[in-house]
Amino acid sequence: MCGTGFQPVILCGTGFQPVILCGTGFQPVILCGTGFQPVILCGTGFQPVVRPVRSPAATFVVEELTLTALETQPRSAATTRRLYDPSVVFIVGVLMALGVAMVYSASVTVQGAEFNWRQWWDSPLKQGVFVVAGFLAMLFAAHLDYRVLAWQQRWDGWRSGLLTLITLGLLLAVLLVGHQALGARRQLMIPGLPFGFQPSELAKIVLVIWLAALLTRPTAKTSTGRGRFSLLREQPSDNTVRRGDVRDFRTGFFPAVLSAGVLIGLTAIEDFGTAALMGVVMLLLLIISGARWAHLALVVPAALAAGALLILTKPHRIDRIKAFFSDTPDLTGADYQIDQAMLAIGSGGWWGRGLGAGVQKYGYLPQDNNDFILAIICEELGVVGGIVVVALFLLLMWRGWRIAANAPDLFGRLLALGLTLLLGLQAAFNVGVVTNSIPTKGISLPFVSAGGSGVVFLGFAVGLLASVGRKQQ
Amino acid sequence: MRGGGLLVAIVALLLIGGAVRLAYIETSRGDTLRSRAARQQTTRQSIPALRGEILDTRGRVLAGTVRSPSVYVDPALVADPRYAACSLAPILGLEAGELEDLLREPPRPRFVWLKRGISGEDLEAFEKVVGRWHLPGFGVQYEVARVYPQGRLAPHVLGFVGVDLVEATEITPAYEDLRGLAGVEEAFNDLLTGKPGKRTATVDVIRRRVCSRKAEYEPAVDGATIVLTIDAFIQQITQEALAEAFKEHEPEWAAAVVLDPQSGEVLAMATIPDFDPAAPFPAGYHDATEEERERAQTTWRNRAVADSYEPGSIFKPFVASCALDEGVVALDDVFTINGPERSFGRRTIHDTHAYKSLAVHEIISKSSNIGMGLVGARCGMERLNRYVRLFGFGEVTGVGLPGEHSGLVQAFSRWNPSFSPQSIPIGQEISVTPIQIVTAFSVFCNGGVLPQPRIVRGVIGPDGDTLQDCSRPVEVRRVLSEETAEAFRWEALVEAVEKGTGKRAAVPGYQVFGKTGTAQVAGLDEEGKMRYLPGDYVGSFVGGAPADYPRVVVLVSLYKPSAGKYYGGTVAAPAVKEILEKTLAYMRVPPDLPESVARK
Repeated sequence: MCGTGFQPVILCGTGFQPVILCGTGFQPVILCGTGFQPVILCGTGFQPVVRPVRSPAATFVVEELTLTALETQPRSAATTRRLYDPSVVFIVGVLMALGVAMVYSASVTVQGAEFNWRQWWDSPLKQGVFVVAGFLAMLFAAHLDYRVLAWQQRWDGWRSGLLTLITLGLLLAVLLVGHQALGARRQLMIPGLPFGFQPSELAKIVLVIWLAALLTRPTAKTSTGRGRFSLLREQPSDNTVRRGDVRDFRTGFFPAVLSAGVLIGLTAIEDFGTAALMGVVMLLLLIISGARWAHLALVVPAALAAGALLILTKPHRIDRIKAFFSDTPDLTGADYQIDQAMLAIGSGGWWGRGLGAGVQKYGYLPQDNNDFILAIICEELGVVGGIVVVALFLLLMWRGWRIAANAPDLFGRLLALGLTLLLGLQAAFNVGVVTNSIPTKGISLPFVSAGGSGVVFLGFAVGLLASVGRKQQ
Repeated sequence: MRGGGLLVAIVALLLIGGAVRLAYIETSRGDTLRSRAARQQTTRQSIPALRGEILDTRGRVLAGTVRSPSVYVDPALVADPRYAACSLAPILGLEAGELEDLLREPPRPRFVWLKRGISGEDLEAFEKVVGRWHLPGFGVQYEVARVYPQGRLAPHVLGFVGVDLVEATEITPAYEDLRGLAGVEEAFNDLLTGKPGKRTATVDVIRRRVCSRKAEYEPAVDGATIVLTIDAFIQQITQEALAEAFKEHEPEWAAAVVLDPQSGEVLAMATIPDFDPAAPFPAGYHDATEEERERAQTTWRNRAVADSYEPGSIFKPFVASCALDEGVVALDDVFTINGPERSFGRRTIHDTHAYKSLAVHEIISKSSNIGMGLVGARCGMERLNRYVRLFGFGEVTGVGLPGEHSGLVQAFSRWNPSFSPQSIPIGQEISVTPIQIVTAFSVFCNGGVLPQPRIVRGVIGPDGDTLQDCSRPVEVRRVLSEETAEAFRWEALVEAVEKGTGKRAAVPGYQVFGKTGTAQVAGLDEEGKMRYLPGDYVGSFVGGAPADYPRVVVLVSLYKPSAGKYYGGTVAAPAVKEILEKTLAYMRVPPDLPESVARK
């Protein structure tokens, strides 16, 4: 999947179905093995070329795909005007493509003689559709002007506010009529569609948007009309705190923490892992926006206490924590999943068993196509493959940081930083869980793990990030 | 913005930490994890090698192996117990309700045999139902079973097998194996067993084969086929005749051996009491008392090779023929007997009849103990010792069966000059096995050569190639000159059947020759002293036919007959006659006598 301006070259082995989405202007070249028909959606003006390849060199290796794509040159270095930053779109496209391949691979099971369409829909096709939707959401958001979500005039914060209220409503709805799966109620079933919708995935994006908007809203007694960020710009010489400034507890800090707290709290009831992630992101955004350390010191113990309470109310969370700190592993109980993940990582070695050739996915590793997809990547593509995935996230974070640094306004800067930190933290949490560095909790690997809501909303988020990276003459 | 870059850097460092951790897992524990993963992901299955067959000399199957299918279930995998129970119970001959209960409450271990040794028809029906309705959890396991299609034919020669659990090793899983515990099954166990194969496959978490990964397959090498010299038909004749004698005279045990004297091939070898080789352990054997177990174990004894006893008069021809060969005596030398008793030094020897004087051939045919005592005195101890060993007594014949006894011949230094010269010629102070007697007796039939008795003709490999060929006769040594052997057979042994003690062995149309023997049995009396026990005898007859070119030699021995009669000429000779008559007819040996001569 790639943005405008790059020419993808895709090599794939027999038995995989590449899905290629690319921007206008370039001609994708696809070399693929026999047996599958590639699906190509591309911009106008060029005809895709599909050439079947039978040589062993055409084995589909995702790392190669990445490297080949990175080496291609941008169309013109002299572009000074652009609608959005294509680099993050490209990186996320690679991650999504890898996700489709890996979810397809990990969803395989030993089946009976008969084929049925339901099974097929449940694994590769579904993720493919989600990824297409996510990519379209990303392109849509990239073409948006992110400033529609900003709070720059006195009353134009209503868009972010409405988004937040809708999210709160959905979170409440999922608690009341949600679909139960794996012991947690996280999904809202959409009537007529064979998949659900997970509001907690939306909640973490909305949290960042809302806080970015709220923390950069116009403060009182400012004469210049444009919204400004009080801390760094125009340091007031009298050192008084303006109304609405985050440094003011009653009008700035407290409303931010309260609104974010409600969002996080509603999420935390059923999805502790996401809530923890959101809590950390909230904290980081408050720090960045210049909240007083004394105020922050009040929030942290309260958050920890709330977290402890949530852990103690669910026995399986206690078990996971105990299992993590226990010296004697209980391989048939709480430690089973992480032990199987270790076996998957170990059995791949440095270079992996080959795409599709893993065995741990045959029922040994629970959640193999979801939270533990990285373990399957390590088994099939090796530790090197896993490191490449981590490197892609680092690249994404670096691009995110560059976009934030060059952002034209404060809202854009805070939004870009928030989204970058959110994506980086979620990836880091997931890698930490899979490598047994932190206790197991349900955190998926962004863009790669199976699941529609995550791909679509995170795609939307990356679109916003790209939009912040717009350049104007 | 405060610290934005720093925070992004910290999160990036966390990610880098994750990548480092991945590399660390690989370097520190990679090998351990890989081997653990391989253990849980692969299944190893052993493919049993089929145990080789045992054939008779004409290729009839005496012992074979069949793969018998058995149906099992893992109740935990059964999706719908009631449905499965109702569909399968009638086929398996079970109560639907009971089967359902079993499926609902999985026992431990979960593997349950539903029907062992299911018939082919039922198996077909079972597989049809399971296949059509996709009933999970049920399966068919082929078990190897040893069968003896001829029933209780030659059980002591064939032996039997036991089930051995072969322990799992690092490379092969545990499996059940058949192990020969007696007879040919034991002696040739290594050749019969073959080499089991194995199959290694990658499986998913509920042990279903993962097709995308290659399975390793090493085929089993089946066991070799052993071809015996035994002829099932002659064996059957022998067993029937022996059983008749056993029924009539009620001995403790009875043994018979039929030998081809020209080649040394054992044509039949029978012992009574016998056992069923397919079920050597009687019901309740493992819970039985020590005494009952020993009783069962005694039925496994192959008396024809494993038991020795004092031969008595049947031994006389061996001493006499050697004396003749060396010229110590001549067939027509007449000895003064003056029976019915005579003392030799401190020892008195009895005859059943009072003979005045007998020629050497008459001493044999009439079985005079005093006459043999005189011959023995003329030979002296050194010669006697040499004769006994020349005929192969005191050492195993090497017929090829386990547990063969060598008999007992005292070391020469322990011979007693005042007893041995008279005891040895009449078959005392010495113990021999039936196989030794027939082998030694063959010397009179094949021109004076001691043959190597054999029970195995050859070994055929699993691919049909010959592994061992033992069909050529082997001469052990020359014992008598050809002339002496011929003369002795015609003068002394034919006379014993025509006019002497062995008349009941005569077969119409054939010139039979042979020698009777009625030996006392030594044992502990009431006072605990070792002596000959009154009333305990071994009645034997060894004979062959036809006299001009002997094709068969037969020995029948009845140990301690208890129905009143005990003379070898009475209890054993009729059985020998029966065996000779039917065997000669079966072998299509042309009669060498006009009917009238035999009838006289």
